[in-house]
Amino acid sequence: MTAPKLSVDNIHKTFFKPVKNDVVGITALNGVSLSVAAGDFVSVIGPSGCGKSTLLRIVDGLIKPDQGRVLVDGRVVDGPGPDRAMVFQYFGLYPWRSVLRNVEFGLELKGMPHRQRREIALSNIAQVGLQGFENHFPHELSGGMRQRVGFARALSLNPEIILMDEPFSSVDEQTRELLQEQLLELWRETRKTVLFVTHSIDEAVYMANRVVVMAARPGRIIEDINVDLPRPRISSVRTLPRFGEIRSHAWELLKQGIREATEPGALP
Amino acid sequence: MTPAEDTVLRAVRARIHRSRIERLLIVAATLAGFLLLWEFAGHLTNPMFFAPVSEVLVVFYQQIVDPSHSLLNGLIETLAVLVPGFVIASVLGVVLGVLMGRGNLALQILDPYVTIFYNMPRIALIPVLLLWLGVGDTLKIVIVMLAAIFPVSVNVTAGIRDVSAQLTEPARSMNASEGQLLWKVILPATFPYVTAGLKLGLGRALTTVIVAEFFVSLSGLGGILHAASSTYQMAKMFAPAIILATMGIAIDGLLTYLERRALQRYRA
Repeated sequence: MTAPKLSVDNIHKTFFKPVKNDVVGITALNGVSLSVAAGDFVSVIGPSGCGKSTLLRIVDGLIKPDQGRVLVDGRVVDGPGPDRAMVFQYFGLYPWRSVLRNVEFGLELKGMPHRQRREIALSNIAQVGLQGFENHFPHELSGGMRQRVGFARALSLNPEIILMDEPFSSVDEQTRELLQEQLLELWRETRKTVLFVTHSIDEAVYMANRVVVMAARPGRIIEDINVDLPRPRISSVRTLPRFGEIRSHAWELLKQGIREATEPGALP
Repeated sequence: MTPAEDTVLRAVRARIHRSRIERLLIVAATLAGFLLLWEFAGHLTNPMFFAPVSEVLVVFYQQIVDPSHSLLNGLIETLAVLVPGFVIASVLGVVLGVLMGRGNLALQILDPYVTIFYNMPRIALIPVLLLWLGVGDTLKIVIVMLAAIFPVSVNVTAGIRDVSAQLTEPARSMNASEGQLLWKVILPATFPYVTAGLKLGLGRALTTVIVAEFFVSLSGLGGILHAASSTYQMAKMFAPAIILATMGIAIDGLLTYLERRALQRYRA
């Protein structure tokens, strides 16, 4: 077996929350390990509070783990880096910047010359189908278009790994399906490694090669499901009996995790 | 567009146009009434305490064409205090606000003093500062500066503390340095607070410059006002007041325009 692109090695993370004059610790992640092969598409699902977003931020380097480490191509991650880019649920665009200047932003921060970064940004805007909107501002765009700007910005950085934190939770159902299709197409074209956090079981199974199921209190991985569905994933894949089997298996695991977490005595 | 829709559209346009004319008429009518009342009151009262509007306008005109340019010189004297005082206050206010907004230690140390100065009437400082700085423009500039700096800094601090993680997180994820975070994310996001602070500061600076001209040494528009009122030249008293009001409205209008333009972009 070849060395993984990304490996998450026994991560622990506890957050501290002030309560009156004291603090309480909340274990967000308790010994999470995961490895992802280059070019793979892995979904992460779990109930709210299971630490899936925290896990993603630790991989991105925005949060430091208390214990354990993240490796990209065998190198230890110590903060954000050009090999990883993140797409946010809240889009993360800058309202005072046009679409073009939003897409350029990461390259601008790197100090890339004006002409070069403009060229790259324009081609990425075209890639996500937003040509003609370069000079629009985020408030003039629909939610789906804003998230496409988010894609273009991530692509402009040409990362090896794209981290997505519930990227379609803030858009309506039809838009969500269109964006899913577009993301799969982009993934097929670029062959980036994708770690995709979602709270939708259907979406997790439909998009990924693997679905990592997490449980809460404390946050941990309870199963890693291999999604042996054919590609390309088109709408009809959802009607396959195998899709339903994987979907209900994941749902059973989630329910079990939620039951355990709400049983008395299971709470920390 | 169908003919029926066209008729409706025309009716709506006509209604908007009518209401605009109505509003203008109301303003014009009340203004005329007010000026008439002023004129009559001016003729009926003791000329030592009040002047009719016609006389005010005549005197105002005389002062403008006056070869000694006393009114213009007064305006220049006042601006020579107001402009440096307000500009220094704006710059230092933003710097202080950024310091207190970004640094927890700076906030802890400086906050009590800012609170004291922000709430203390500036006029109370005049006697002390008079002893330290003597009667001169320096003192007046310092007083104006002290009046305007804290509304600016307090607003900037609040604005910076209010910058959402949804704006800082994407930049941090793209490896922004602390300086880039400040210049490219935090300061632009704080812009509406800066203009709000400048507006408040300007109001205080305008009041304070006149107070300083009364109390420190008679000069500028405040001096003309004071001299006119102590010699019961009522009509002459109104000219500086009119200029001050016009100046305040003009600068406030400019800041409001900047604020509105900024806010348009900030509608997320």
